[in-house]
Amino acid sequence: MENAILSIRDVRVVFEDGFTALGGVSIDIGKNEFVTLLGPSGCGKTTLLRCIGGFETPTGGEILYKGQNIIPLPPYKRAINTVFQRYALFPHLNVAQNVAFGPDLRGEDKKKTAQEVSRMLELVGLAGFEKRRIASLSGGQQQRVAIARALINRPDVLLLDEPLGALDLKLRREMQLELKRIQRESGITFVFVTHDQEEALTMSDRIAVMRAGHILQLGTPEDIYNEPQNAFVADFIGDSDILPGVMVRDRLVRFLGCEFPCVDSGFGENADVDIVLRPEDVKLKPIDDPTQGVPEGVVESLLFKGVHYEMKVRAGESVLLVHSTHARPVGTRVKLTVAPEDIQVMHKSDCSPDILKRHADRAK
Amino acid sequence: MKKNRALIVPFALWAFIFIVVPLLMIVWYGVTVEESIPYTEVVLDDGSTAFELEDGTIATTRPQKRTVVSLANFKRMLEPTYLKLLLRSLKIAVITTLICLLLGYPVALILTGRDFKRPALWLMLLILPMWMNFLLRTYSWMSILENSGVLNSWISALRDRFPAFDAWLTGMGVGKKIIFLYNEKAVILGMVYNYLSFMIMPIYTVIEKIDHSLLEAAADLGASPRKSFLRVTLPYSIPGVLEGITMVFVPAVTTFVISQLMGGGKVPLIGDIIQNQFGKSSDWHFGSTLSLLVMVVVLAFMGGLNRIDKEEEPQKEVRIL
Repeated sequence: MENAILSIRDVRVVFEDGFTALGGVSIDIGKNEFVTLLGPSGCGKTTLLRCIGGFETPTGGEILYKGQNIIPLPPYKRAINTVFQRYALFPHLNVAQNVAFGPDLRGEDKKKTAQEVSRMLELVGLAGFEKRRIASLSGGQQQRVAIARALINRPDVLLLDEPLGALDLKLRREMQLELKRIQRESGITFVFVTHDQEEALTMSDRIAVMRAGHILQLGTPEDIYNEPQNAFVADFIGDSDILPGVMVRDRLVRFLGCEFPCVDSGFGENADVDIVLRPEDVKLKPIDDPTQGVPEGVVESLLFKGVHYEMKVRAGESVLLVHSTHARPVGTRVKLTVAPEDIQVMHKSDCSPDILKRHADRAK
Repeated sequence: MKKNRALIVPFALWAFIFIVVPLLMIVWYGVTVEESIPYTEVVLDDGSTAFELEDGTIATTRPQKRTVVSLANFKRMLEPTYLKLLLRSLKIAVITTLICLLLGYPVALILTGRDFKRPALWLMLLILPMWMNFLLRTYSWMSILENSGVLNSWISALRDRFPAFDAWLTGMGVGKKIIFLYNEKAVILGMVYNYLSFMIMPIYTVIEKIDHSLLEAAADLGASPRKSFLRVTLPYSIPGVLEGITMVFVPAVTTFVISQLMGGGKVPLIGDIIQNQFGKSSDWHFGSTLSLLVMVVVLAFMGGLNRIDKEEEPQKEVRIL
């Protein structure tokens, strides 16, 4: 990427016990970009963040900050700040002293710092909290103090390690918007770690989906959601139906016992593939619909989810999750159709068997 | 909580018998003296011996000493001899505590270091000597340091082997035998050796408990290792330091064994005098008065530490999550 502020090149981390936490990760992060590292626990996302922050030394690769390899630099010499998972606020200092920690270390003017602290606290919605003790703050307030403490140093890059993990859902939603606002207004690059796909989709400019020390897919939230590159990404992001299928030839795929036209090609003939369908892309039609050559099914369950109904439809051996604004009573026989562009065809990967098994288990 | 009140009784009883009663006894002994009653022996008309008291009454049995409340011992306690002893005790205790702090803090810090492998083993090695009898440990030091001891024989062996070393030592005015024992330094050495682990342990415990992410946060915000020590580790370790100081200072003020063995009686401390009153001099009253004096000094000291503790320690708050 041109003018990337942070360039991670083939970074590897192998722990002393031989465990590979990162198996060669590369990603370019641009100025004022909001990049999320998303993945299940143990996927290496926090390790990558700690490498950027300087708390973990990669066993290979380069981390370029403004073109300079920063791996040899200790954390305190990096112009990068971190919001830690459990905030790591100093309990012996009050809110203002916590926020002023960085400027005080640099020996900045006390008066100026005090003003800056107030400004920062205002930015994170904690105006007037200067003299409060850390222990008297709620989780959400502590988290904001942690953000203010990092932002006051005007870093070019802010690393956030699951900062919303300890908050309840409502506060989480508020803080997501708040963080996004702060990021836009401050012009700072955010590298955000989370295992919550919804959080990642709402906040990010780009998402890196990670698994077992590798980035599986890097793209905008829309890309990741609409065009997942493999079954793992599809399974991890949003609800999906994942089925085994066979690519008959270019632009024709067979699953659920029927052949469907699709937009994918280049898989060869009669290749085993994974099929990913989003529940809202599966359309239900009445059984007497004239459409021919589509699978038939029976509605097994119906749940009202607010904006839509969630139905489970049994088609042969499989059970599909279907989202629709139009409810069909349990027991209704339906025909299932999918538009060609909504069928995601994917190469088999090493995690396909697990995922397929889990989706097949829904049918039991 | 009310119904659990009965559970306090055993402890209250225990505390009463082993703490309150002895304390009261010391106070009682401290404020009283034994006084002999003046009398004259007289021979009565029937030839038997009787005792005439000052007020003219005649008793047939020899009058016993009586215990009277008196502040005479407090007056005696303030004599320069005893105050000097107290001051020396305090001086030696302060020096011992400072040396223990200067030696112990770095040790605790090193042991808690992240890269330090197997701190538990090292900690045990440090504490292992403490499993030996206190007297035995002190005697070992004596056999190392005495005039014909291990150290002196090594030094003289070196002198025989290297004439230049011998000449250098002689030039420095060092005699054939170096006298290590029976002075203040020897007493301080004995105390430091015996009490050092009491300093290391509490400091180690508090530093070890510091959340590592706080140090990472400090580094993240631009603190070099030195600054992060000064701004995070040090303030957090103050309670441990204060506890260590107490654990070293209090026994150091009151000890008498170390000063008797390592000081050879040449460096008497207040503890020696107190022990003397209960032993050779057999004046429990004066011994108790001196004990009270030491108690007041120690209490004042602990009170002072407590105040520092309250100012320094991060305020504690119970959080219900």
